[in-house]
Amino acid sequence: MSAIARTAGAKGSAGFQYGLKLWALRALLVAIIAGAWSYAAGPGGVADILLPSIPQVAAELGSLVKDPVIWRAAGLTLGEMAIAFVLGASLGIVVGLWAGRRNLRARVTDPLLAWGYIVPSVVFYPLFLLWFGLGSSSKVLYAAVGAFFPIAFNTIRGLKSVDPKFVRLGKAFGASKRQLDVSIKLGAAMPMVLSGVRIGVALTTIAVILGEMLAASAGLGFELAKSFNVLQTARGFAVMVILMVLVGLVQLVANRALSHFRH
Amino acid sequence: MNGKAQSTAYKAEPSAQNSEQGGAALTIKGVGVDYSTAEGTFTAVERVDLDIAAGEFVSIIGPSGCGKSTLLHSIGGLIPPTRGEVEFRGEVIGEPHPDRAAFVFQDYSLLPWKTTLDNVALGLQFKGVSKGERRARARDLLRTVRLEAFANSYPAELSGGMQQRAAVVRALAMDPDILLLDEPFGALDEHSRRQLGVEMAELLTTTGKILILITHSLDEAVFWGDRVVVMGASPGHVKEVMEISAPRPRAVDFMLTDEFVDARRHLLELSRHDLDGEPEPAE
Ligand SMILES: Nc1ncnc2c1ncn2[C@@H]1O[C@H](COP(=O)(O)OP(=O)(O)OP(=O)(O)O)[C@@H](O)[C@H]1O
Ligand SMILES: [Mg+2]
Repeated sequence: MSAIARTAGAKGSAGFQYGLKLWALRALLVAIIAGAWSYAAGPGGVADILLPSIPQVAAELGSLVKDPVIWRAAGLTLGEMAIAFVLGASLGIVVGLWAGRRNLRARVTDPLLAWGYIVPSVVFYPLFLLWFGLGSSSKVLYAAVGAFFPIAFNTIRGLKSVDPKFVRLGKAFGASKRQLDVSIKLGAAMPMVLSGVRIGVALTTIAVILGEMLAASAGLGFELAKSFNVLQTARGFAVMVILMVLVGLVQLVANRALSHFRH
Repeated sequence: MNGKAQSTAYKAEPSAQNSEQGGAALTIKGVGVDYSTAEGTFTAVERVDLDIAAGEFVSIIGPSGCGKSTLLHSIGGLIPPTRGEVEFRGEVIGEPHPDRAAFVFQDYSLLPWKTTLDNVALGLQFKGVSKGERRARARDLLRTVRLEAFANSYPAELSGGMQQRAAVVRALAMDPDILLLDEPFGALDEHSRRQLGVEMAELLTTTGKILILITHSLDEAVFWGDRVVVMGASPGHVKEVMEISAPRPRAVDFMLTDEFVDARRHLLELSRHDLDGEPEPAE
């Protein structure tokens, strides 16, 4: 979005025309998908219970957004995501900074963190269900684990891979050990840390929705799974749309927040 | 920390500085540097002895890899010498101290995540100068090299020559006694080199600091230097130290004088040995 706006601004009318073309083509793509959907769900097509028509989904969506149950579910899901992310990210950054400051700590913790990062965190979920039950805490902790690993891992990697010429520069200009850590090493590691945070945001949203779908008594993920389980397919589609919008908003807010940092 | 206090102490006594004007201010005593590598120890600099007076400009030339940067880093305290020591006004230089010796690195090393202004203010930031004051000082310095319009740009948005000027004023911001310049004009084309050279001349030479300049350009070495140190390789050593007696600051016309031309020819002959790979005469 912003890239297009910038191109348009910089290049004047040529850029504007390009932007227009881009959006026209995007609209066309959406229209094609909608057309294919309408055709498939139309007369002689797939049964409603497998693929409801667009008007049916729209009608369901219209009644869902008036339903306080859905708003409570959305609030719960969003709250779980926020708490899980804040928990996982702060712990990830603290652990990453602590371990990344010393070579020994980094080398001891790095393989473990890499492992935790590689393993899909859903394997830990049954454990959290056992310990904390079906409520929100199991989702929050499972999603926090999902956010923690990429952030901790990337923070350590970033601190370990600082270009030695920047460290040399810091020393030459009189940086104390602390200033070297904060102003030079952390600055140099920032792009890695931020990419860890981006991955953390994405994994948090996936984990919360998945957690609610697998075992819960509330939340949008729960509503989604329930709708399909009782074959209320149109309602399921409507919840899907709401979830897509919700995740889109979360990403938008995250990107806005992250763009305040350089890189 | 300790060194910091001491350095301010001798800065506060300009008389002590003046009394030593005649003798050597900076003494490089039998300095040698070994690197430990996977294959064992590698001698980058075998042995260098050099006395440098206050306000003197010393150029260092020599083939690539002969240990020029290593020696410069040792002088500034960045690489502790394996043998010998570096003394400034009787005090051994143990660790880097930007008030005493400030670097302009071969690769400039501007921090890509900081603005030009904050890059120039880096040393002041480490010293604990308040944000407002250090930015004001950095802005003044940027003005002297016509970069004030780029104060809030990031290094990636600057040309090579602009980055080089920023790196020079970053070092000047420390108001050091010694400026260590590692091929500061290295990445520039001939025209920009000359233009920058003339610009930097005023900035650098009116300050009464010791300047040590590494360069691959014989012209630059002779034009700037009170002395030209010619280094040889494998392992790094001083081949010859050549006096250039013409008073500084020198006008561009100096390049047309016999002294310049003769000195340049002599250095060219010396460096031809390196190109031919002739063995150095053993001493
Ligand atoms: N950190 C290091 N570890 C091991 N060897 C090194 C290290 N730094 C430099 N060397 C070696 O020491 C020698 C001298 O390097 P140095 O950078 O001082 O050369 P230089 O004269 O500055 O070369 P150039 O003109 O190309 O900049 C080189 O052979 C180089 O390979
Ligand atoms: Mg070098």
